[in-house]
Amino acid sequence: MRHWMVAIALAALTLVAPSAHTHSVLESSSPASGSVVERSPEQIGLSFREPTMLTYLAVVSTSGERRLSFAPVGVAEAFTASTPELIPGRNEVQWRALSKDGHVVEGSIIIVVKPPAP
Amino acid sequence: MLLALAALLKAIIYAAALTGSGIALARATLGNEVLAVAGRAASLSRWAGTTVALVGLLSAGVYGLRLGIAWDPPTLRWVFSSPLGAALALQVVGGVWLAAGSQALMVPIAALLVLLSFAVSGHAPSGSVLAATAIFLHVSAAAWWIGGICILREASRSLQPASFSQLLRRFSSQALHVVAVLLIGGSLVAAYLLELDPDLSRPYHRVLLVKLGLAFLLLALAAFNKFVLMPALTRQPSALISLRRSMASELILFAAIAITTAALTTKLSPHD
Repeated sequence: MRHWMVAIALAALTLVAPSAHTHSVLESSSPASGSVVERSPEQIGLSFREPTMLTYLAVVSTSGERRLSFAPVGVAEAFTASTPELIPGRNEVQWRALSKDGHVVEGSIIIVVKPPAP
Repeated sequence: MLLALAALLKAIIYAAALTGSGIALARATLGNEVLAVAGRAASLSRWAGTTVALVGLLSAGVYGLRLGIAWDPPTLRWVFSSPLGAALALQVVGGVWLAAGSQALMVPIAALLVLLSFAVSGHAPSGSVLAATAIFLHVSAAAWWIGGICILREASRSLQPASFSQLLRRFSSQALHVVAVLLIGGSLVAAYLLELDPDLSRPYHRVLLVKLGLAFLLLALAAFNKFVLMPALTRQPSALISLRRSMASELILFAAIAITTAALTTKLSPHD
């Protein structure tokens, strides 16, 4: 009986020791959310806190919703969308991903492109 | 809307998977008296297997919509080779196998495949092999309990009192070990998820407390059955009616636990 209790206690301690089991969270983006830029960036980068499978990336602006292609396809910590062709004004870049623990996670970043000088 | 649908589908899968798999496992351990109700039990297990397979497929579609995936081969290959894809595949394959269920000796393997699906994807399985093992043992024990109750309810209608009492005694004796596995597995998973630091300001921890409360009620009811109703059966046959009601209450509590767990694992994270 005592051996069982020791085994269970050891198992509990072993289980609790690693604590990096959270949902994937966007760590940073390039440009950062809230950025005001002169022209559409050449690429948009998303970096996650842990390996994640990005499944959806789209830009929502006054002209509607447009899906962006990104690389790599599959599990990675960083993803890039080339030539996103953001329009002047407010652009919301929405993303969805499958996190390591099997949960759907989503979010968005805002990038404002200055209107062209008159 | 999609989130609520995903939680609903998950609750149905939990209930069907634990019922179908549990009947298959309990049939394998409860002995010859079960043969008298084997037909009805197998029929319920097959229906549960069909539900698991169909709702598993539906869940895959809902996950696809929630993820906004491009339905192209490279993306689908990545999604279905993930732990989530493996879990859904195990549910569909195991569910179809349970639904087919013709080879009685092989059905427990189908049951274990379905139960394994809960140990390959989720908060705890993604972090530790030991936590995944604890979840597998926890859900397998819960399934055996639910399956055993379903068989006992059928047996209470069709078996002679002496045979039923023998089946009940065997269930009660095996249940002691199974409940121990259930509690140890559940405690290890809870310790892992909460990092031994329960914090009731967090929604996940509060909902987990609700689940613990329901589990406590279930254990209290099981203890009442074992220590009050079972001994009363030999003295007064009317205790059988109370026992059948009590077993129905246990199944209702299991359903409530399945709904709570589905809400917990779909909407909340232990770290939010």
